[in-house]
Amino acid sequence: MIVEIEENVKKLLKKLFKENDIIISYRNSGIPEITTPFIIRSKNEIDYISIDNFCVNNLSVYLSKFQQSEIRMPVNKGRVIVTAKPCDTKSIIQMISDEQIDKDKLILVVYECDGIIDTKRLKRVTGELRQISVSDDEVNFTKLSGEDGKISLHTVLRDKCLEGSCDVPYFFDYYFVGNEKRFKERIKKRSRPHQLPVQNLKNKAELKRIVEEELSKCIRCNACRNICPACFCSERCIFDKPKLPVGFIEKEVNLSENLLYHLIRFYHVFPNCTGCGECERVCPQGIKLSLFYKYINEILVKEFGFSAGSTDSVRQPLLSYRLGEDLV
Amino acid sequence: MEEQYRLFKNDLNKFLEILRKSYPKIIGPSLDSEEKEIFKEITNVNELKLDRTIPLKPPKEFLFPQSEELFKFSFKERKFDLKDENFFEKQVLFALRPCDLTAIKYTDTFFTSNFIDVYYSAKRENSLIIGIACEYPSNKCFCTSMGVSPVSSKGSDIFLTNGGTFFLVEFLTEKALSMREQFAGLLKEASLEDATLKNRIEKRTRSLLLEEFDLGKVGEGIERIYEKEELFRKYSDTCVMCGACTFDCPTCTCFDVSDKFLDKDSGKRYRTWDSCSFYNFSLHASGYNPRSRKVERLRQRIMHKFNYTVKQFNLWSCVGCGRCIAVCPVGINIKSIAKDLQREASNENK
Repeated sequence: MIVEIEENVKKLLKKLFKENDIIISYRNSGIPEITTPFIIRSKNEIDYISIDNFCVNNLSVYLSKFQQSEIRMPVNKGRVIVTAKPCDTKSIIQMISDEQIDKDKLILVVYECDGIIDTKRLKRVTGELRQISVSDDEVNFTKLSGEDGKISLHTVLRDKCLEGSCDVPYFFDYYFVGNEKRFKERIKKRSRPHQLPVQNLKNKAELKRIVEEELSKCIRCNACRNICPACFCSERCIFDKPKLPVGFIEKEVNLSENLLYHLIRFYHVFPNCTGCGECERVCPQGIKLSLFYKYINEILVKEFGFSAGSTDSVRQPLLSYRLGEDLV
Repeated sequence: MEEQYRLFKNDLNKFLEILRKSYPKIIGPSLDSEEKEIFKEITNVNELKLDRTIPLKPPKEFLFPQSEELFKFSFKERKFDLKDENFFEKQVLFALRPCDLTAIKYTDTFFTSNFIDVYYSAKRENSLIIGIACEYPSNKCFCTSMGVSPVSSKGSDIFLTNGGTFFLVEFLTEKALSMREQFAGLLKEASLEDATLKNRIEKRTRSLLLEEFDLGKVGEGIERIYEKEELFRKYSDTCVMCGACTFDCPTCTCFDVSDKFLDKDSGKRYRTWDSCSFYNFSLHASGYNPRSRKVERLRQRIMHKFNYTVKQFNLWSCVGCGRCIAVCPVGINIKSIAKDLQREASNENK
């Protein structure tokens, strides 16, 4: 990540921070390729913030009302300051549109991002790492064995970053840009046409095969649900509601229960899915969840002209109607 | 010292074939369609991948499956009937690293000390465990800090050590020794220098670890830091309370028992993995939840790993495999938590 940006963000945060505020940002986890979310309550913690090419988490998940009550955010007194990559702002906009966030209490600090590294891809190229650092477009690393190496940043970025859909933040209070010229060049180099990897989902038999193959892997750890910024019912979630003698969904892990779990989640979430890809990233079983969400989002754009996270003034199509609207 | 033999790698297939006669199912580390490490049934020696880091999902599921039928029940013509139709195929768990071996030793203790869990024991008795010295740690590994040596053979029936063109083989239990005769043609005499092979590998693997730390007597002071919520809040704040860490943990043994009706008057009772991260885990029938906040749930997991089982079984229930770090959606590092606790505990002890 561009060095000045981290410094500037920290400087700004120190200026902005007042008592009772909460800052949501990132810090080092102690593992070279993992940067972890960081919730800050006091000014001296700001120095531990680390903004780098491993800030993969979409921090908007911590803005949901449920999470706020869990981490005891000062709902009435303070403000919530969140640092975000341009792509994450989409989720925040959608949450504002869904009335999950109080816009007046939120300060959104967006910074220019030169791409996030896909750690699975990185591991395939470099193996296990002792140290890693990124400067400009070069990744320098030391393997566990002590052997040094370097690769181009471009080769280990996430697919999402390569698609280059992140150049303009949709909404922000502060926006940090490193070097505008360099930024534009970088985006140009990265951009590759957005591909829909799901052409064959249109074939029903093939769709069934893919769904069955993918969902039979699921171990129902709930990681996809809990990391999803569009999935904000949490404690009142239908899967958590005990209903005697058994719950809404059997605890047994098999294809039919897994299908029920994912279908319900799918119908609840797809209209506000901004395609952040967190569900797929966190899945311990490597289920290609974003395949299904991408597919349906293409349809939403085509049929309703709606893309979640693009604006906070239009309600999502499945939750609203216009007078005189044709029935579908 | 145990008797050691050389098994040349060219003979590994024959070795597996002989094993298969007594144990039809061989499970070992392999790769899935996306080149990800995974434990699965091995039909051919070429599927084995021994030069990778440990698979993310532990071999726990082969002894303690995620969903396991306990029995079927029916109530027909005023007669109540229970039927246990479980059948366990004999299996080999091949090439488990010392962390997983230690984990199996822990689950053995858990499932057989206060009560005998018949379902686990039946699978365990029908399994032959073959260990292998670890040469490929990941940067999340910290087994040595949890008192597990990368070449420790404890918990295995047969233990292998990679010597380049051959494996050094040790037969450690009665179960394994009774099979030794069958391998007679394949086992070659070990040379003198093989005696130091394990030491050399241990030294090399230790040097590959990212860090080693001493947890000392963290178990002792930890009770006094139980109330220090801010210590756990630092980590629980970002936790999203999924169950990924517990499901991919080789020693997490919590389960939940449910009934499922297959038709109007018969059904089955089954158990599934449960996770202390879930809100429902400790929810009482009255609606009261003693661990309703996530800091309490994270504390439960950490205390269980580093304190409760020490008191109960004199064993840490963390083996340092690092899987929870690798799988955590928000990158919570259990190594940092352990070190924080240790520091606080030793401060308290002063």
